Amino acid sequence: MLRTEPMAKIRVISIDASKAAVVAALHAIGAIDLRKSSLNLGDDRPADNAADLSDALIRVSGALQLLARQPVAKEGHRGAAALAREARAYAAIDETYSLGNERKSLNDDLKAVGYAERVAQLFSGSGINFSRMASDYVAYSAFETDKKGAQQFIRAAKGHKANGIEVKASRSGKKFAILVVHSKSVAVDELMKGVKANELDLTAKYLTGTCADVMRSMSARRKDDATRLRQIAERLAALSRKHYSRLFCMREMLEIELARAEASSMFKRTESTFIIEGWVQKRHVDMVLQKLSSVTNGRAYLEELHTDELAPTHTRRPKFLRPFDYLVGFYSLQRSDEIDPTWIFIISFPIFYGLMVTDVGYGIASLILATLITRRTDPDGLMYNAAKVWQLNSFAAMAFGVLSNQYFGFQLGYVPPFHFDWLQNTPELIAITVLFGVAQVILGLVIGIVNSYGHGHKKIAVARFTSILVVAFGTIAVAGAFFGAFNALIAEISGAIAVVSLLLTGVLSGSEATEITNLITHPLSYARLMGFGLGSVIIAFLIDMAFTPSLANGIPMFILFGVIFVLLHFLNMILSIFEGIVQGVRLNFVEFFSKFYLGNGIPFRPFGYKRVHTKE
Amino acid sequence: MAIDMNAAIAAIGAGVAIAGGAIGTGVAQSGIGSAGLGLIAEKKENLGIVLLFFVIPETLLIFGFVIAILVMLQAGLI
Repeated sequence: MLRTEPMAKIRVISIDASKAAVVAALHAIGAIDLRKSSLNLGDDRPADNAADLSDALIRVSGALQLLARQPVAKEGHRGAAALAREARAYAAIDETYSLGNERKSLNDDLKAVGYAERVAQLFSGSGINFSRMASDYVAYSAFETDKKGAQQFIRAAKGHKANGIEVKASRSGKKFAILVVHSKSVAVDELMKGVKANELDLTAKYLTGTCADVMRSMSARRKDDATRLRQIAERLAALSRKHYSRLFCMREMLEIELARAEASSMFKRTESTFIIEGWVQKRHVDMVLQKLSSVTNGRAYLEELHTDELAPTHTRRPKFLRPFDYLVGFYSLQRSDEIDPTWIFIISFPIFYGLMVTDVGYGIASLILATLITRRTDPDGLMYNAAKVWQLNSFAAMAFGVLSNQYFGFQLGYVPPFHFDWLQNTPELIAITVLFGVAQVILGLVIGIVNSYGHGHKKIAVARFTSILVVAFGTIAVAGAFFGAFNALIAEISGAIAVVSLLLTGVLSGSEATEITNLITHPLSYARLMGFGLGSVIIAFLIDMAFTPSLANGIPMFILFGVIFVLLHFLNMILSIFEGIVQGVRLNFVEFFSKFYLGNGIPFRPFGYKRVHTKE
Repeated sequence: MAIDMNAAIAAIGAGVAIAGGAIGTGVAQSGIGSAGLGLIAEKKENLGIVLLFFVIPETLLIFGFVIAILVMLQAGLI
């Protein structure tokens, strides 16, 4: 339970004639994470058809990008050669690409049309003719600016009139267009310094004739482009309806075949055999052997290797709890040779969240919010997985709400078993949360001792143990000497043990000795559970006291108070939820995990493919 | 109504404990927050880690809170 899945490194040797069958079988069962063998043998290379399959996959994927999504019907798997041939000869793909290219050039054309229209519109009042702007002697520059920019520019240009500069300004709504006719030796950019303006390209496509000519021809062109774009969209829609499903299945099959064709680049080879190495889950070794024996008629040899390499990490948990694995992995993936703390996280996180939110109403609302988020986010993303965990935590918030009798800050007329009141039991609650911290921090230390011992760091394991003794006996000594909790003899003996343990810790490991202060402060940090819980309850109580709507004050006041009441509870709820999640995660990752967690594990990525739309 | 000076001083002390923790947390979070936002702007995948670091100084406030509760308990205010 507190370990990741046991893994075994295996080596498979078989003859070349069986290679395709072995690769297909391994790919289909998806059980082995391939590793390149360290044997002193030649490298194998990808299958000869890998390049063809890659080309075919690119061709099909590109076409699918252009087609509209359609329902997909399952198809039977076809062989690599047939698939590559089919993709090459598929006429609808060529037509799709051709339509896609045409659509792209029409869209580019529409951009040019829009630009020409904009420039013509800006100069519409000036009477200029774009066709007459080619000259060997003078240059034409144009700018778009606002009223202030136009004034600044005209002022700046006045001083340069002697240099043969001529300026024409025309207005179109709030925009001003400036045409500058100047000798080629004059740098207009200098004049524009400090003026907010965009330069206009007078040599742009379609800027010929007068502004009216441009506007007229562009209007006709825009209409033609739009008509053709509509025709293309209709044709692509028809192609999508007819071919999308088939192409989608082809893509899945090509991805499978390409992965198989490229897999052999991870193999080693002799003259007539090939060697595969990789990690499989220990419980799958026999299954892999049976499968390989059946597809090679017994001509596959499998052995389990003994190695000091770090195995990849794989965890097996019920589906609804996997988001907790995601969160732990988001922090850092656990190593396969350390204790897996995910189950402890699964238990403690909802308790922390429940204590901090602690209201049945907020729990229900947070469940609804989390469910909405899961429906709108990517299942592989952080938001989705955090929301899934949040959903489960909402039940804990409701449970603690029932125990503390909190319903949007109101209390119902019942006393549940294990009842606690946030306002009346404050000292007890703070003690309980700190004790919870003591328990979790000590558990973290014990796990740290086991991990260190397992990794052969026996000195550190002993230092961690003695650091626990320092805190435990130090606490007894202080409690006895200063608060009279124990008699003087016990206090003195405890003090002596604490001092000896401290010295021993320092001798064994300097870093563990410096960690001792954390053993005192970290459990105190758990008091935040009580702090945030109490804060949330008090705010809810104050909202209810001040803004509970009552019909006795008239309907308008009832509505006004109702709105404020809902709004404030919503804000308090968001604050509680946010703190519940962030602080709950933080207590686990900072106070608990820091006592033992190594992380940086290697993810288990088996060679395989999850078929969705095709059948073997 | 007679004012119990001991209780009054204890209440002020509790307030100072909370305020000190809150100010310390605020100062620490301002630095972490600005650096964290810079990091998120570069790479938004770091949001979770930044959020985690951001809340770490809140421990100071919690210590202030614990001290305040202990002071008020000692003074018989709760």
